[in-house]
Amino acid sequence: MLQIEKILTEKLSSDIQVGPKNKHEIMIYVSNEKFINAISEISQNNFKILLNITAIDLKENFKFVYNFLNLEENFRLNLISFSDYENPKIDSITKFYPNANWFEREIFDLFGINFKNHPNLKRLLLLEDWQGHPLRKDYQDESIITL
Amino acid sequence: MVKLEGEQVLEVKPDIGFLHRGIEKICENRTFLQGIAFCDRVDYVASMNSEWSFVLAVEKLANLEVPRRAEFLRIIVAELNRIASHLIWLGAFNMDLGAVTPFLYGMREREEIIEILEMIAGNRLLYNYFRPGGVKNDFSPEAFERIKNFLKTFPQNLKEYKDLITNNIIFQKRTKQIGIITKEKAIKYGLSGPVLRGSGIQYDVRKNENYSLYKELEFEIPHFKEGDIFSRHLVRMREMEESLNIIRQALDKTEEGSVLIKQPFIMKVPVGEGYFRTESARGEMGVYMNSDGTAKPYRVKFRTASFVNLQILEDNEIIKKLKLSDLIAFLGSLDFVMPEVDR
Repeated sequence: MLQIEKILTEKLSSDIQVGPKNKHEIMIYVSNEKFINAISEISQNNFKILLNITAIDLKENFKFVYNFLNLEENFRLNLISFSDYENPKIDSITKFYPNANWFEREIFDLFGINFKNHPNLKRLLLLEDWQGHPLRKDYQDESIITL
Repeated sequence: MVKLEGEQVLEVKPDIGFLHRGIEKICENRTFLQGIAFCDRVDYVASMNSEWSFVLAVEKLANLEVPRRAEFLRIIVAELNRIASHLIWLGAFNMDLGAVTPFLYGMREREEIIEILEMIAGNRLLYNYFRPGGVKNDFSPEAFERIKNFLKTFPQNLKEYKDLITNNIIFQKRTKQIGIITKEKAIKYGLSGPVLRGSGIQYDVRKNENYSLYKELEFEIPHFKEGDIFSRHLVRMREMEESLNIIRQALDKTEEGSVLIKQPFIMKVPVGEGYFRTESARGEMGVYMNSDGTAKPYRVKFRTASFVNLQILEDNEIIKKLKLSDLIAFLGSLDFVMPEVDR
């Protein structure tokens, strides 16, 4: 078993689920409540680079995918978490990874998800007074005409 | 927006989003083949590499195998595009510093590459050349001749740039020991590409992720440890030489064969998700793709190098040491393009 897998399953046993893995990457699922504990373990165990944060609208809940990289061993970790649809929120990881700042602002802008403890949660790509969140699956706009 | 006190910079706040076209939302309503044309528009200066990331994602999720000839053709075309992108950077960076001549020198060389790519793919800037399972068409014999001629004449131009720009005392005084990004900051902010290699870290997705047939070619990864603007300049100049090396080896090793597998009428990708990445001219270009078994992707996210590299401007420790003219040189050395930032 890999070292990061061992550490996470020891400390957060019932909130962690290990997914498919091979010699380049591993996928780990974590619950929304214990998410920030998992992040602090990961950042202290050599996964120092955050590559990407993605959010997906699954119509009943939201799914988050975080990609981390371990530079010395050239190994990638994919962390997946969920949040419910009515009031979506998750912890912000900017104090561990400073470059998560703009990733999270963009997801707030396009999906409307609230990141707790983010230093500057404002819209990034769209106008300041734009109404609605375009990348959601139920986004409607009168100016879009479907032929 | 820059907060100044006289000539000293206090704070920088980037305001982006003026080129946001909603490409990720558009791709959700297009088939995989139509999405490749939109992928070009994410980075229109070096578009072969954006297409490569997208096509790599489709191939890995659908388990398609690419013929060997197509892999070598992809490598040749991507490296030519890397040289073209670095030539635009050379011209624009020097124009920011005040020297107008290198811009036209870079454009003169780039014109040759663009004409070669027009012979191959049919288009000057937005190619639509990659397909899942190969490339659209083979090179003609004239294209091979022109590439071989280009390999003979370009090293002379590189020597010209070295004498004119790199060994120039004014250029060195404006760029040495200015805008230093330390190794720890480069890792903390997740930088990639020549910005990372200019700070002493030898990391390149072509060697570490080992996609396509790069493992059969021999090339070095230039890196310098000072972390100032001059090191980033040297990294990009050396990368152009290494790209010539790669193209030479790929031309020798190209074997006969087909360039595209048989395409289904409607390409459907099985259910799955994953994050796949390649090394573009500016850094790591990644595509996260989530497919639900139909002919259109459920979610596509483009992780572009310029978007991540630009966040270094919000770090006050680096910014507070710069004066206004140093800030212009620093921005030029990061080599970001706005379509990648806004998508």
